[in-house]
Amino acid sequence: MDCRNCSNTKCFIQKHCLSTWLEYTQHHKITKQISATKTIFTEGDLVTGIHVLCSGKVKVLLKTSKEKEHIIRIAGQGQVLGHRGFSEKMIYPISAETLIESEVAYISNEDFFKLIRANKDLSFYMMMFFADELLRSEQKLRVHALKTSKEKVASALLMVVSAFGFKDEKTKHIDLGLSLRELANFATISYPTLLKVLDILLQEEVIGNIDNELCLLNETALINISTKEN
Amino acid sequence: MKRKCETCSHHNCFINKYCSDEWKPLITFHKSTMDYPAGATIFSEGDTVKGIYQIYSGKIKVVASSNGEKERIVRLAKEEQILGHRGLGGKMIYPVTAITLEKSQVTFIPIDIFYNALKANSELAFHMLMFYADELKASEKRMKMLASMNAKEKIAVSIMNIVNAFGFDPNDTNLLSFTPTRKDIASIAGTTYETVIRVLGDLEKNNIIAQEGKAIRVKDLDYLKALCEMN
Repeated sequence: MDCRNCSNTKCFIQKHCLSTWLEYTQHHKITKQISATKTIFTEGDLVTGIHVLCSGKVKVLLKTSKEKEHIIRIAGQGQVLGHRGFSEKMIYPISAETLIESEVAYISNEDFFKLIRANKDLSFYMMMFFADELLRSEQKLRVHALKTSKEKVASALLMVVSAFGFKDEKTKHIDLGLSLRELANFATISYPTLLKVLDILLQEEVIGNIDNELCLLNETALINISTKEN
Repeated sequence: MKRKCETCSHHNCFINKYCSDEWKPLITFHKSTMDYPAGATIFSEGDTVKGIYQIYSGKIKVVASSNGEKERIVRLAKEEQILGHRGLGGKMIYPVTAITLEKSQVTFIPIDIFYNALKANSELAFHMLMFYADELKASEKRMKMLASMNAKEKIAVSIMNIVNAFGFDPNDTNLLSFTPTRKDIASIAGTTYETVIRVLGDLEKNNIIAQEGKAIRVKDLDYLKALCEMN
């Protein structure tokens, strides 16, 4: 995609940078088309720049032990990737993998810092973004231990909706992107438990199942379930 | 009397370091300064965020308590550092409580003034951003630690946290300049009081640390560092 006349209104670079700087970004970014289930960067890699997801869907993984991987974030169109690597050591604490074919733009650290310093809206946005991420990350830790599996599924589904949105705004088909096993991982419950809970939600008509795809029937109910205990 | 940002000697304070000279008098005008005795609450979990705090002097613990569970210390902060940044973002409600560990003086800057300062001073915004990035990383590292470390490693990490937050006594190079209570150390490590006593005793026996009353002396810093990096 071309930053100078990009149609992606969700992109934070597009939203918060001046037009002269969008031109600069266009000249200096490196765009890659990456097919599904490929690694974008790996835990332990040196952070040399920041990634912006132009299109597609990505999962962010944290290794909790040798075999286990935990999906800690899912990112959709226009979102930043790899911000967890930004700190003194500049080493990725997480890995990122595509869920579907994605277009990823890479901006080097040097250029990104220039962008941040020159575009005050961008620096303000990035700061608030980090503030949100910190809040979410700590809330997840605190609340999770106490949550029931139903609450976990409800909040995982809401996170999917906020990251990927709907396939169709009218029918409220959730643009899931994840397999059900991955959804179970993201919600930190087992696969059989996920199936059981989805069944309950279907019966309560909070979600629906049309042509084997999930759709959201009652968003308020889902929000209520997810926030019951926090 | 109000202390002026434009003549302040705290050169590591974010406001002093990264705001332009034109902005400092404006912040001086809007800020308010408060004195707290030890053990006082500066803000509480659930309060609405009305601004940001800057520690002028003293030491503070930031505590998270999940319903009914025992409290966890998520951060230790001292003079020249920012306080209450965890409240920004989301619903603008504090997820944590800040309590003074000793007599402290804290400056309050209203949120709209702080936002304007961020927008007008790109260096301030940039360094706040990097500060958040570090905090995010530290926070997730702590989660990993709680899940995977044994008691000895947890205590080693906690002592290193205290060293990084408050440093050593300037006149006595391996004595902690401030030692939190054993109960607070347990809250940092996410373990129990009894475990802290036991592990500190073990470490003392192996000549890694020495306990001098309440204070802790670090005798083998490299050993503690090595323990921290095992995970």
